[in-house]
Amino acid sequence: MNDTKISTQNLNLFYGDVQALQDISFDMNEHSVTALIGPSGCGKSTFLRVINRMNDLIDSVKITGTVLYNGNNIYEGSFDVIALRKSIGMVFQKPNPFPMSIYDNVAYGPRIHGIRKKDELDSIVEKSIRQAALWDEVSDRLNTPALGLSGGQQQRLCIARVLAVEPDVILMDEPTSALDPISTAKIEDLINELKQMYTIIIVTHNMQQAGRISDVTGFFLNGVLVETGPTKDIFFNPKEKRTEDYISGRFG
Amino acid sequence: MKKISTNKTNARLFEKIAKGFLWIAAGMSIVVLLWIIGSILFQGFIAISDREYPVIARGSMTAAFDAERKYTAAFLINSGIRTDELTAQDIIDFYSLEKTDWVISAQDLDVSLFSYEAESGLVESFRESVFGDEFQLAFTARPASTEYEMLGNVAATPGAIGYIDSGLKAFAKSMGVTVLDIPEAENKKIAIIVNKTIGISELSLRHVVEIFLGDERKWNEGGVDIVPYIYTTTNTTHSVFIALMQEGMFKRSCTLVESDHEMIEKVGSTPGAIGFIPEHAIDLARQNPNVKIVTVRSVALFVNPAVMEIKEYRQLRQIAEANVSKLFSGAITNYSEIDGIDLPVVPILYKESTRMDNELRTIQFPEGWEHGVDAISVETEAEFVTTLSKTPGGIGFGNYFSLHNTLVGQVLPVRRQEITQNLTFEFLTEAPSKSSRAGGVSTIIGNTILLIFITLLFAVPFGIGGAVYLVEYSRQGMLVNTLRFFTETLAGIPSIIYGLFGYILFRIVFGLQEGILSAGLTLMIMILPTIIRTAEEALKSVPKSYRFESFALGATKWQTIRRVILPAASPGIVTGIILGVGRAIGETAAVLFTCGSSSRFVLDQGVNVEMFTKSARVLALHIFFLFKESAGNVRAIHQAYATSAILIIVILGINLLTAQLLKRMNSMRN
Repeated sequence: MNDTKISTQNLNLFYGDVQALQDISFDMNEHSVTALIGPSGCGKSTFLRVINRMNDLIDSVKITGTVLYNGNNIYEGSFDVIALRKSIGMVFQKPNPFPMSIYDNVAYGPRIHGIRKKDELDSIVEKSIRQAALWDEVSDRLNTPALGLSGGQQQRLCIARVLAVEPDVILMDEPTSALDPISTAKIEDLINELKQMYTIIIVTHNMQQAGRISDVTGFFLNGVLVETGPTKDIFFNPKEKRTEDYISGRFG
Repeated sequence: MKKISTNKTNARLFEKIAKGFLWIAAGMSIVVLLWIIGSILFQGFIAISDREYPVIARGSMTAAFDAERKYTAAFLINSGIRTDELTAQDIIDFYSLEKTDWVISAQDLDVSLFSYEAESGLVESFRESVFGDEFQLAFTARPASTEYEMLGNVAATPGAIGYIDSGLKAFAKSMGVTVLDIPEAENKKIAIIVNKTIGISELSLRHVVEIFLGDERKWNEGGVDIVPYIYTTTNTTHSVFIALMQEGMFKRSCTLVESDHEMIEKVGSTPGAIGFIPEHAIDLARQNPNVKIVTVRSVALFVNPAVMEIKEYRQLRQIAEANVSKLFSGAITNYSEIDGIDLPVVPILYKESTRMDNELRTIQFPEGWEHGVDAISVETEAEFVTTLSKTPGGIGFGNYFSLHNTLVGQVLPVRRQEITQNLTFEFLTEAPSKSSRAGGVSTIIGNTILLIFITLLFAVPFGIGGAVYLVEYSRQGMLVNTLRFFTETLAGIPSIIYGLFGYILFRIVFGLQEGILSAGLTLMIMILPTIIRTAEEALKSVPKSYRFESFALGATKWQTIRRVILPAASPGIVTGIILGVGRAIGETAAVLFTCGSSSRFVLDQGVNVEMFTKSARVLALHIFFLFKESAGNVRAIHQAYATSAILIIVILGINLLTAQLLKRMNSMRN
């Protein structure tokens, strides 16, 4: 039904001598939500950061295997990392707006990618904030400091900031773990909206959340991708004993 | 259980003691800081000086020039002069050309003297009190003891000039001596004569004065030498001659006016002008806003010369104003009580209700006024003079104008503590003059601003660039650690070492002239560690997450640094820069060898390349030079304090500005 957007093949990742990901092969589809679940330290966030090469920022990381984005290996020497990160946006665990105004936060991405015209920026900012379901709350104070927003608003602002660079994949690293239930619900609704247009890969600790929002789930354990499949199957009909144990709450 | 509770009590007691100590420490440091700032600001704004005056206390609007009070005048000055009071000595110094500028009012202004064209008793008596019997005759003058000798000498010597009684004119002519036609000498008992070979028949009084002063040495360009003859014995002709010379002196140094009205007009329109008018013209002068009538302090304390003799290493040189009335009330009975020799005080005072007594009573003494019991009473000034000269230990009041030139007594200077405003608005807007003892510091402020600008021009890019490299680019290895070690060591090096280093590097090695460029570079080296260290800390305190977020949006490292990290770190960076400015602005030793000492503004000849290598004095250096070169001059010290106050205010201002800036920047973050 869907095309594969991102595909990893035999991916191994080492932090120095420690292997954090082992032989992971995983296909993630376009216009769907893929949830990555697993206990703390299982490698799911590391895996997420492999996809937009954020691990490059850590000196000791070594990666083998291939990661294909639209069929191209992103770890090939000549691959344009800047362009990759522009197309694969990322939302972090803690909302982290820059110490600038709301407007400047959202306009940051477009600006660094060379958009200077005021009216063009205005329309991108408005569109992105609207998409992030934040417009009604901030439209009258776009020039106030972004750090004055509540946690949930800040996270949606970060999503708007990502949307403003017009990515086609959005990586989310536990985007609601620092938020209250109401803000969480808003973000989840937003994810449901966004999957019409974007491919979303989300790391979450919250199993219910994975169940509510994802189409496909991958279960990580100790750096190994134990099981992948449609979310319903993983939750109600897991093939692996370890998956079942985790889902049913025996560990984790 | 019990033991624990004892321990607890001990701990509480200890905490109390510690708290007390901390309280004292905090209190003391606040007191010390406030004391320093407060005292410098106080001294900066208010000048307290011990000044010695030949005259005492407050004066009056008019000054009398003779004992009989026949001739009294009021002195008026141009209203641009910042003083309301002059002493008799000031006026005498002005008119005798001893003082030619208005340093007493801290102004860079030349004195313009005004007098009357027409001779009058007032002008003559004033002139007499200015010069006394004095006229500094040329030391090349030759002697003559009698009028006939004078005539003979002048007749026999080519180029000779002399003077005789006007009754001898006809006789002189018969001897073949030329009698000169001098309008001012016409009605006086004097004639100026010259050797006939000179071939002139008239001469201006001005020229005669210059000849006898020794300023004029030849009769004409490359001509005969002038040979002036003077009497060695004092005779009437000589006295008349001296008076005539004084008249000539006055005419030479003063602008002459014809009427009181003209006097007031001219003084009002000439900056730095001083003139005098007869008493009856005071009301006329009051109508002109461009002049003001000054109070003249002219009453002096005269003592018998024995009082000021030196004996056994003791000498009474001056007296505190507060002690003046004690000498007359009987509180001080011997001069040894006020550091003088062992001699009883003998007050000489005017009888009650005499004119002089009434005049004295108008003078305000700080300690009040009380007649002594044992005072010798006199009625007139003449009587005072004779009594004083006969009485060892005698002391009394007299008119400075009429008595200071006489030999009757000596003037005992009075020491007085004066409180005046020091730091004025003019101090900021006027250029320094008279070795910086007058004027303000406008040019110095200008130089300082330029120096700081030059310093920052170099220090800011290097400082921020260095910090960004250290934090963002360098792998934290040997290089960085070494660099950091040196930056920290540099921060602790005494500034004089920087000064020497800057001198050697920029002036000797690079061959730069002293000026704001070499000084700015020296300061740059000095404040660079501060800027790098604070900028580094500020950059490090920017959360890592900003970097990740920015990279995740596809930003390059440079974009991230420029658009996110530097703005986020800017409050810290700005603080570092301002700390650096604060250090640079007050730095003396570091710029001592590189900046120069000229108090001119480096831009006074326009903006050009030379402005960077022109000797330039900055505020901190100004204080140093003022103290160093003051030679005990009170004005210089006051100027130094005023400059210090400016520096303190500027630094306070910078700190307040920083606080405001940080507040505004932080409001973006919260």
